[in-house]
Amino acid sequence: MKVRAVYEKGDRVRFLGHLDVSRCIQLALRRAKWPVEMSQGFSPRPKLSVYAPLPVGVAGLREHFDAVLGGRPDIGTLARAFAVSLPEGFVLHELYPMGDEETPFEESIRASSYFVDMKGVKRETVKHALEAFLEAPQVLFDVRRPKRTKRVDLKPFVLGVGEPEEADNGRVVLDMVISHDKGRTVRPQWIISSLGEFGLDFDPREAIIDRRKIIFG
Amino acid sequence: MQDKTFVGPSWDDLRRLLGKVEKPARYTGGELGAVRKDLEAAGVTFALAFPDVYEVGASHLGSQILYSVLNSLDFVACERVYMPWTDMEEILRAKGWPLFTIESRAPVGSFDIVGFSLQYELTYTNVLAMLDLAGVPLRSMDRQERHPLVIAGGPCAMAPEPLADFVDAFALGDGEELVVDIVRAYREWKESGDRRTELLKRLSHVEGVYVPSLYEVVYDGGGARAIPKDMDGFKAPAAVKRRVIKSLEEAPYPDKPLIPLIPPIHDRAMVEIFRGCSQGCRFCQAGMLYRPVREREPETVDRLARDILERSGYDEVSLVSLSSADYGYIKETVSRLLRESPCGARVSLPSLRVDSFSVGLAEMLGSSSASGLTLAPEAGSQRMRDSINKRVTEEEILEAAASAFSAGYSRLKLYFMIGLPGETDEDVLDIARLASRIRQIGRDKGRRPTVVVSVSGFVPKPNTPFQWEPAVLPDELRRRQRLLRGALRGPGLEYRYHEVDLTVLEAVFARGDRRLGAALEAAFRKGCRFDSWPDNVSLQAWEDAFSETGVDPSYYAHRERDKDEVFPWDHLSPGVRKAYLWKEREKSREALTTHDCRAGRCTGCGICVDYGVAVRLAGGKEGPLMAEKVDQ
Repeated sequence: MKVRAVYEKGDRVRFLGHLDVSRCIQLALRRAKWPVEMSQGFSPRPKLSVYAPLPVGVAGLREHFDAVLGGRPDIGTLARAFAVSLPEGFVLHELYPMGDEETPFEESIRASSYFVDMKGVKRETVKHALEAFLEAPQVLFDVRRPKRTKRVDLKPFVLGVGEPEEADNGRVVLDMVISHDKGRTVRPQWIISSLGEFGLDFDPREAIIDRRKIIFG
Repeated sequence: MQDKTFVGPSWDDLRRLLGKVEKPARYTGGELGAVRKDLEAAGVTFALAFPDVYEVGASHLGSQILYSVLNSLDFVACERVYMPWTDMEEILRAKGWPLFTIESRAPVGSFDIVGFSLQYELTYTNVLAMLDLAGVPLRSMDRQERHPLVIAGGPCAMAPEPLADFVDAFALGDGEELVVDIVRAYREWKESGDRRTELLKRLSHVEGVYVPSLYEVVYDGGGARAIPKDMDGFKAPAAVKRRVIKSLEEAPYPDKPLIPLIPPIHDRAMVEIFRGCSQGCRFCQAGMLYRPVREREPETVDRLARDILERSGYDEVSLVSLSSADYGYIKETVSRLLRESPCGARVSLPSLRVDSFSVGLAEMLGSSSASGLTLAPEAGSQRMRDSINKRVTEEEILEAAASAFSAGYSRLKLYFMIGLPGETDEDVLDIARLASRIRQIGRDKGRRPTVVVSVSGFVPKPNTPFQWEPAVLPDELRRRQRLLRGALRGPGLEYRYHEVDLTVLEAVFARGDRRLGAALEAAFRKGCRFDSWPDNVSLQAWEDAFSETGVDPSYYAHRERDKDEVFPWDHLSPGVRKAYLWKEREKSREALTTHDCRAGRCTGCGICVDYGVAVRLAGGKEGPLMAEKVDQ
């Protein structure tokens, strides 16, 4: 039986990377005694797929993983056991059985909706930078990896950006929707970083970013 | 009495800066098993400090035991703090934030006690950095009533003089009972309202506690004799004995293991199957410091392993000790755990002997033949192995290798040391010859073997038979490295070595005296941190620190000591007698071996007699207190 879990990678665990999240989920599944099937072969692994990796620093309010289980255990029992096995900062929102004919997750995902929270910037500055960003024909950004640097045009990935708003404690918040194209997407930090070219003086590493939801198409 | 606040940086402030550091989850806590008590309400607050990065500290079993013991006391609230990596240190300093604990983000300087774990000498600058970041005066003499009591335990606490000016009290030996005595003594003092000096005096009479400020050191020739000061009639004990718990069976063990959210360096459940080791390897400090052997009963090991696996979710349990194949019930325990443990958990043994029995065990554990097998012959020639009392013959090594290749392994990693006392070039070259023979055995077995020879430079450690020996000079050590590397060329042979400069630094501090404190502080001021990390250590800064403070590193590292020299650690009794260590040193010069006392024949090290503890083997077997019957 295949099940899908919708869970939250909350504020307190936002600094975990994708592999860390996968490890936490695996440990919690074993504590919850889920009968997760193992792959065959030389080095068996649990049949577990944790989807749509979030970068270190980004929280996710509705994240997803699938697990393949032996037998047909009761969903309610599974959910209760897993919910109490999760470390602080993770929350299980939904758990449901999956049909065999479902579209693979990575193919069905169309976009991610993010909430961005910046402190110490003026709303007007953010607004102007965003407007300039949206008007530019392309916005090239260098993604630096340990062994190579890749240049990517951010523009096509940005499906929408909300009006920046002022919030308490000198914060400016905004929403943005970023597309996923056959597994390819860009990070909201890259977009914030690229706003430097358009007059925003803000270190993107200081932005608090939450993925509010994944949009399926 | 003390105006303290447990409020550190807010979560919102912190999270807006953590994106700038490497591995920010090092600083966010929230692990399963973490304990949060009300710090304001606690009778005694204790910051358990590990002077290395989170991933290293979170793997340290001793710290987990102490964390559990301390938090089991209703009047104590214990939180943890690890050395921040350099990027985080920069942020703390730039923001003016104090070093904080990971449970509550509470300033470490506000805790009653800060307790460091000293696992290796090259973390000493981190100890100073953590004190400084916590806003605690570096030197004990500058601390006042409002400052925390700074204590330190672990193997380096048995020869702690380089840190004597910075640490108020050292905790010697097994910590399970000792740490409870320390916090009780602290609570009594706190309630008394006495001055800080009274606390130190009080602590000096807790068995196993060494308060360095209550001793003056007289330097005489090469020696450094610590003598209790006369303080208006008060004198600390002339000698401080290490604490030894009599039985591991009754010792507390963490029932709620700490499960880090990022993988620590040892990412598995751990059960200590025995403490102490009586193999008697003459270079091994742990083998001398943790005597006698005290085994857990197999039923207890089994129960603890199952509990921890179930509570942690780990699928692997490591049966931890200094030589796990020596455990009396190792095969039965491993096979029962493999057969009956939850969810088919794996078992690992971190330290195996070099023999077919151990290879058989590794095979039983289902160790991946792809990942290879690690063995530690330590020396290449029989003469050197006898000299260091690594009681394994070449035949046994080759048999072990043959068993490993037959079992499907094609990659063997072999650990060796060079620079051992009495070593000749032939002994060094014998490492290459042994590796070649092993490679040939692999080929004869139809494999395409890879033999990895990993070589470290020998560091003479205090409280071992080699404590009188000089470390080999760096240029000579490099020459021997080159000699070995030249002899190890060829397909299927790989050579790895450790940095010579780090070996020298370790050799300086391992047998250092109190005068090294000035150099240590100077190095810290020059920015030295994480000195055991080859990419991080600043040798120039160390050279400058030594030169500015008039310290000759060679005096500590490369000097042969006289038989009667009084060592800076001689007033701290490890249990194994100095006369025994000298006798072992003399035997090493003649390449004579000493047997393992586990089988019942006493070797006369003195621990059982002097401490009234006995070797306790599983199955209810207790070794005799072998005072008179010393079998050579």
